[in-house]
Amino acid sequence: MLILGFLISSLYALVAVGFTMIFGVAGVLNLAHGAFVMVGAYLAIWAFVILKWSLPVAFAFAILGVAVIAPLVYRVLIRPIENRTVTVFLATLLLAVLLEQVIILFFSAKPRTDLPPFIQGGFVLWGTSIPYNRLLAGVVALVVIGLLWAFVTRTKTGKAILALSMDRRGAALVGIASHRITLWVWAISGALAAIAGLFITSFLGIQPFEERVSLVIAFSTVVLGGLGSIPGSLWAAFIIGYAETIAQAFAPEARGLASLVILLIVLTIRPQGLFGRAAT
Amino acid sequence: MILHRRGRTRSYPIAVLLLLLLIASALVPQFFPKNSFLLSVLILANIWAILAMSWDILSGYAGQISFGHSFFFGLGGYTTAFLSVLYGWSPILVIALGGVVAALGGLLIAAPALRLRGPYLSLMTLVAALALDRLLRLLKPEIGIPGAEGAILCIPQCLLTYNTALKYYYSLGLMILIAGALYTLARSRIGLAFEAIRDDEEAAQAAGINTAKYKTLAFAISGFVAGVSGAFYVYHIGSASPSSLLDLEHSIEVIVAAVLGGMGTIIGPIFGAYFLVLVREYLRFLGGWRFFVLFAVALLVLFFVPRGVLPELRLKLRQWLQSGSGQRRNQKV
Amino acid sequence: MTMKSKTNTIGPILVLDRLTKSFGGLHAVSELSFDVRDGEILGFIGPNGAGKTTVFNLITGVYRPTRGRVLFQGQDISGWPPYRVVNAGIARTFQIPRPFRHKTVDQNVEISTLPNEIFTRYPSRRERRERVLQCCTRTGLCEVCGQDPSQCHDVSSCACRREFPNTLPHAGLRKLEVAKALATEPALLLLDEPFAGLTVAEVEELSELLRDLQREGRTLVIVDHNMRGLMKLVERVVVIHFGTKLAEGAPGEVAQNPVVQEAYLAGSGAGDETA
Ligand SMILES: Nc1ncnc2c1ncn2[C@@H]1O[C@H](COP(=O)(O)OP(=O)(O)OP(=O)(O)O)[C@@H](O)[C@H]1O
Ligand SMILES: [Mg+2]
Repeated sequence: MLILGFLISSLYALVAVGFTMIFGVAGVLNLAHGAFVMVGAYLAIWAFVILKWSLPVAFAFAILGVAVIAPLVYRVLIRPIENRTVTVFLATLLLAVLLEQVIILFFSAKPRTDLPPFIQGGFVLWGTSIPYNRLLAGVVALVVIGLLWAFVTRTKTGKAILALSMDRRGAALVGIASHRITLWVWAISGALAAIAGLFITSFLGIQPFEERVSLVIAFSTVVLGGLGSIPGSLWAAFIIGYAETIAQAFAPEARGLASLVILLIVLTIRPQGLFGRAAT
Repeated sequence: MILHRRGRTRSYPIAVLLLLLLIASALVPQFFPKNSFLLSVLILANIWAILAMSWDILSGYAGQISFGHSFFFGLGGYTTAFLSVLYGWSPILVIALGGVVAALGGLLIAAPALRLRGPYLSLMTLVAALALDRLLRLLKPEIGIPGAEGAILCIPQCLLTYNTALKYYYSLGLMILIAGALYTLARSRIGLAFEAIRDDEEAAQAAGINTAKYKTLAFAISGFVAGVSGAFYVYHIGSASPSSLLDLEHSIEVIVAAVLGGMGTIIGPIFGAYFLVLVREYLRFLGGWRFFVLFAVALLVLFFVPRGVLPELRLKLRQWLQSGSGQRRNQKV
Repeated sequence: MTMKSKTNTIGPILVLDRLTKSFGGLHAVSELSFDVRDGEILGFIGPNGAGKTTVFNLITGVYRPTRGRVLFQGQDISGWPPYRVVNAGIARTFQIPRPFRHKTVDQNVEISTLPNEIFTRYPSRRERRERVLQCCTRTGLCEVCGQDPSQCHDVSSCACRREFPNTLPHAGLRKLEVAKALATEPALLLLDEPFAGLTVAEVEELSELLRDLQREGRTLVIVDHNMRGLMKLVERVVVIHFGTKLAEGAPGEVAQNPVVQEAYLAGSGAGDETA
């Protein structure tokens, strides 16, 4: 369970980091983030099951697809209304339910479990059987987070992202072009969501309303870690991930419930989260 | 310039239009006496209109965007089901009590909500709705329907009347009563305080407004009205269940209705709710497409007519009338 | 116009007592103490980032002090919520105007007259409307909205009823800020950069209004970087730098003070305006 919790946590971290990046850099609370997770999964199902592409190609297609859709959403939908926070908030909510409907129209509301594991088989460690696929998911998630970290601390674009997430006005003063960076951030965030969506689907299957659970988990993680704080959401992802794993070990239908409880506690006691700035 | 007589509160054309619509809706049962489906749909539209207005006073006016309005809807509905089954009190009392319990629920949410802003607050309301849903499913009330989680059937006790036309008039009357009350409230100094908080909370405080108090009030009022709509809904369908009362869909639908009709107008959301319910019930043959269309339209309205359709219409109408009278004046000269 | 609280006590109307505010590791205000005398116009200056706005936020209850106290008319008001501070008789304007965007100009002012009791007849609607009209006329908002103030007898016929903040010019927004503050009937008025972005003539006009307010017995504290405008108006100046007091005294004295000059030269932006 220790290891399984860790592997799940790293996937939550992927979802949460993308979510928090968009908030930190673009100031947008993207309620369609859960939908990105879902779209990634369904793109893969479409490519693999219907177009009969090979699994790696389908995966790559899904990740790229969401990485293109996400910045497109920003450019077309969000950017023109960017300075009206409430409108953006409602727009992302409507986009989320709209994407749900699109998926239902094309794939029906039934759960899909036909995305096979990336690699079959597994091994037993300390009495727990661990499928290779889950191990792979964890490794991929960690590698991606590692790469992301290297990206934001080493490259010029990455540093600009970090600067923007810490202080928008300050970044503008030193001449960081926030528009181009924001597009990048949406693309990265979408790709991360898609990767998480692919793996989650290959263990648990997916259904259109699943995006709400993803959103609640991402939101809880990000609120716990402090909205806009990238390291905060990494730590929080592991707390939420373990809480979810433990809760699910007792009651499988409790998926999403543990994070709700944590969310409720955080919201009442420390709304700015563990690492967050005070929200305004 | 005679223009300045035209104050911001005067919009006769819209008032006339509303009056006509009112007369039309009062006559519906006369013209379609056999069509109980239509009446039933219109009853639903009235209920949804009340719910959308309750959302508007809290979110459109006081700016506290609620994502979990089904929380209040559900509280009102369940209170009604319980009271009518257990005690068999009169509908008016039971519906009012449904509102009161939901108002108390509003106070309960307001307590932590006062410390939260923006997205955090919306999330809090969403969590409240989800938590109530889980709670009711767990409780499995004894008077509940066996097998159905948390559902209560109250069909003989909470039946308003077998006469659908009469029920329609009740719902219409209730809706108009609430519309009048909320509209008056929104135009009063209390509504102005709400709007100040919505536009800029810190500036409202600097203007000496006790924002915590007014926000709590907004939660209580909104809770009450939403509770009443939930109560009436239970009287309409004759049962209460988590899936019929606490569905997240309701919370999304009221937002859609308010966005379509115009947030912060009270009257606009009525039209939004009518549109939504009519599309939802009459375009059933479209299956899932009708929701797609609804959400897409809402998104487009949000994008291109951010004020909502009714305020935009009023503006256009006023401009049109103004240019008309301007031309007439010019002709005289 | 009547004021909410009139004191007969001689001495300071406002006392800051070793006031301190830290944001994480940053001490925005530290151990700051000074008095504001009843009925004076005090200039409160310092380079960018000195902590002036933070001090206003501490006085008005937006922030809770990390340490120290604020006394208003002898009463400890530290930690009070903002609305209580306002009702006690302190009003402030914002450095960047913060109008209520969706409300007309007169309603923007009316918001400052709203009572906090839900069921009350006081102040009556008429009374409130009169106060709104008075604030709009004397701050010059009626003219800004395009109306001859002598024609303005009733709010319902005032041009301020038609204009929205986004149609006002910058000077109009500044006037709206003052009108909003004035409508709360303050004994002490805190103005955060009221002259920023105004022309010389506009500064002159606003100064005249502020002097009028002083003559009515109100006390004013003014933060501004426009030294030429400010120094003509104020009787006394308090200078802060990095959240601590640097100097205090008559305008002429303070301007000659070498420590103050150095602070302004070291600080960016505001330095050129002092010269
Ligand atoms: N909410 C906050 N969180 C963190 N730091 C803050 C906050 N508010 C102010 N500061 C910091 O406190 C210091 C003082 O800021 P303040 O706004 O009071 O300066 P000021 O004297 O008003 O400057 P200016 O003349 O530019 O308006 C600055 O370094 C600022 O960055
Ligand atoms: Mg300042």
